Amino acid sequence: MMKPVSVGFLGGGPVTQAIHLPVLARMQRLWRISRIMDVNPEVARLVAERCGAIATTEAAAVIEDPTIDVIAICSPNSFHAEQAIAACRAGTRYFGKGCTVAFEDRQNRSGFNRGL
Amino acid sequence: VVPDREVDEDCNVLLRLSGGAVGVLSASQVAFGERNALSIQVYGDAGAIHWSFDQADALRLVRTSGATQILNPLSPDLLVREPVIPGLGNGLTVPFLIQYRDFARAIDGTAGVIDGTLPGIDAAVRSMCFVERAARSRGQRSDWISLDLSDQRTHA
Repeated sequence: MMKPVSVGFLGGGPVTQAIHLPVLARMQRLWRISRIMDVNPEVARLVAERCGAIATTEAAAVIEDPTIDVIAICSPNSFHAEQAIAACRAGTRYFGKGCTVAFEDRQNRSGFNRGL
Repeated sequence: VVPDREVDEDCNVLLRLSGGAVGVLSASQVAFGERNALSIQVYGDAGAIHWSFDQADALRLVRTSGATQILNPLSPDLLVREPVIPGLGNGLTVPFLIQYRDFARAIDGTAGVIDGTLPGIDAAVRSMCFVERAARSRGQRSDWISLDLSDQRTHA
């Protein structure tokens, strides 16, 4: 029996609430939700309470948490690149959401390539 | 729909496949009510096949005679045992269930998941290349653009 994978969310908005978290709630033998980050502290608190996670308004609190295996980037598109780069630089081995990184911020994309 | 959003939210892409078939890809974030209606239709001279994530365990084969068969997958990996979430539609939740399930398996070291039910890095790069070249095609309008990663030319 594998140890559940620890996941932290950057963004606790409607898609996180309506799709990601209900899906993960059905897979508790595989996944454990560790932290929920949202810029709105009330959203972060309410969503985190629902899934037994720690709430935060700071992305760094998720990205730099060494106990988190996977970072789910569910923030607005304009944050994807910098958060993905930060996650990689922090040593996170896995993160979700890559497509918009290449698309929306060419300055950051070249930084992404160098950073990796 | 969203001011200043740089990502295309609605597209129709004309395709010429390597085997000679032609196709069209329609993807939209403004198709209200579809609930992630991922589906594939293939029409050939011997019949057609239809598949939808909303009924991921059923492949509908329609022959030119009109006879229809429902085929079930040989690969159980496209099925999920977890109960789906009421009200959202299978098309929205089943892909996420499969991705999360198999992503966890891959992290745990299960062989054959990457490039099995989950795309590997080559497929991921190719899919990003497809998006970029489709966007480039939009600017050029009249030329075909190759998906060959080593081919930067356009083809009239």
